[in-house]
Amino acid sequence: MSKLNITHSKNHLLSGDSAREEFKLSYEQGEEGGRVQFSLVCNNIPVGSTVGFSADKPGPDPPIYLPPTLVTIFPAFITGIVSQILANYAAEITYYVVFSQTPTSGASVEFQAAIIAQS
Amino acid sequence: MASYNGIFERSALGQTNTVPRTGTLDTSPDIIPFGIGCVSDPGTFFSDDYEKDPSVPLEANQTNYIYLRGKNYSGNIIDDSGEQRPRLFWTKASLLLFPQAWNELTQSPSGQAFSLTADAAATGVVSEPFIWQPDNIENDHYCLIAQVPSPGYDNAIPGFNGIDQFNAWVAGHGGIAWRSAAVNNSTSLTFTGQGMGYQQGPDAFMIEFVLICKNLPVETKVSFSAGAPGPEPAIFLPPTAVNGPDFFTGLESMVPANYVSAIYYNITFPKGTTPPPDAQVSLQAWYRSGSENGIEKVIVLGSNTLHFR
Repeated sequence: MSKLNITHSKNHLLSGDSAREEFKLSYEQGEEGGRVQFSLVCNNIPVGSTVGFSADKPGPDPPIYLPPTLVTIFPAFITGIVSQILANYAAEITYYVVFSQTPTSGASVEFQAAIIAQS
Repeated sequence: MASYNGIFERSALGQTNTVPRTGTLDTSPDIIPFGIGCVSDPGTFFSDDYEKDPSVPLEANQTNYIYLRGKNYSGNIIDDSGEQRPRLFWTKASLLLFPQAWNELTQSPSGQAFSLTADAAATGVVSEPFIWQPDNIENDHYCLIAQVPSPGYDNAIPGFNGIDQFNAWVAGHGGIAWRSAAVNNSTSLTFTGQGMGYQQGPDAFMIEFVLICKNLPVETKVSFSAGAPGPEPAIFLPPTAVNGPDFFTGLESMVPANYVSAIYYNITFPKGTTPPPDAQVSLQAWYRSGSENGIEKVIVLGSNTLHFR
């Protein structure tokens, strides 16, 4: 059975006061490289909104870049990419939500980075 | 004219339990094609919606769900299970008069037999949706015929000598429903199948279900669903566009203890494209198991990788 170890996680409540809400996370890979899953977990974000992320430093294969991705299901939608990350890689990752309409209260987005491990 | 005092199948909205039915016969709102989507609580969803027809066109070459309901006009609960289970058949319209050529839909998401129970004066809904993966169809259309037993009524399927005899049989039998089914033909390469036989185990958990897509062409549409009722929200990811070589997408759902369901995937490639040799998708289910030394652990409950060769 494989495991995921979540090494970075930030959760944000979204007010919907502006059409686009953007956040940043400092990512540090540490001394071991590996396959890393970068996810956005969207809760109560309206269908038709878009989410995405990108890192400000090259190196990972494929790059840490999720193009604008449509939220297709309510209330809980997940999307992301898997990338091979070299040891000691560090970058600032920007992630965002662009709302298709004002979200209901309780809307949130969580950014996660999880190392894929085998047990 | 007579009253049908069993589980009554309408041939059109607005009908009560009078037979023979009059008017249109092939638009039963009690056979509910629901496309590739499913609902968490069909018993509530489709009985609350009884005065509407919530059907959705089916998608050729994808895994679709069809629900069945009926209102009990008897004074007692009716339990259609076992040999008295509700049955649903499909046929091309061109073969409608040949019941021996009809095809019974026997596949349920959990593998359990279908049943339909309705309290007196209440609407009952089939225990799980029927699963169907229709082929493209040209110069014809599909028909669905449902057979819902009730005590004291013979809803057996006879032979037919012509369309008038078929129409009279449908009109006169309150436990029979007929519906012409709209199917969207697929216009590009489409794959569907069972991605996972999911079993929850003895504890309820919030589970994340994801489809990890490697080297699929951008704009490939992926979706998945688990039709057995129970999870909240339903385990159904609508078609979602792939937008990179290592893309994944999915949903979170609270899955009840002992939940069992096949999870089906649908993958539709953009027109004119085929999967590259190294394309694969992996359907995974996992849950968060808590933190250890500041690192949150995620346990993968199930994983199944699909190749396109």
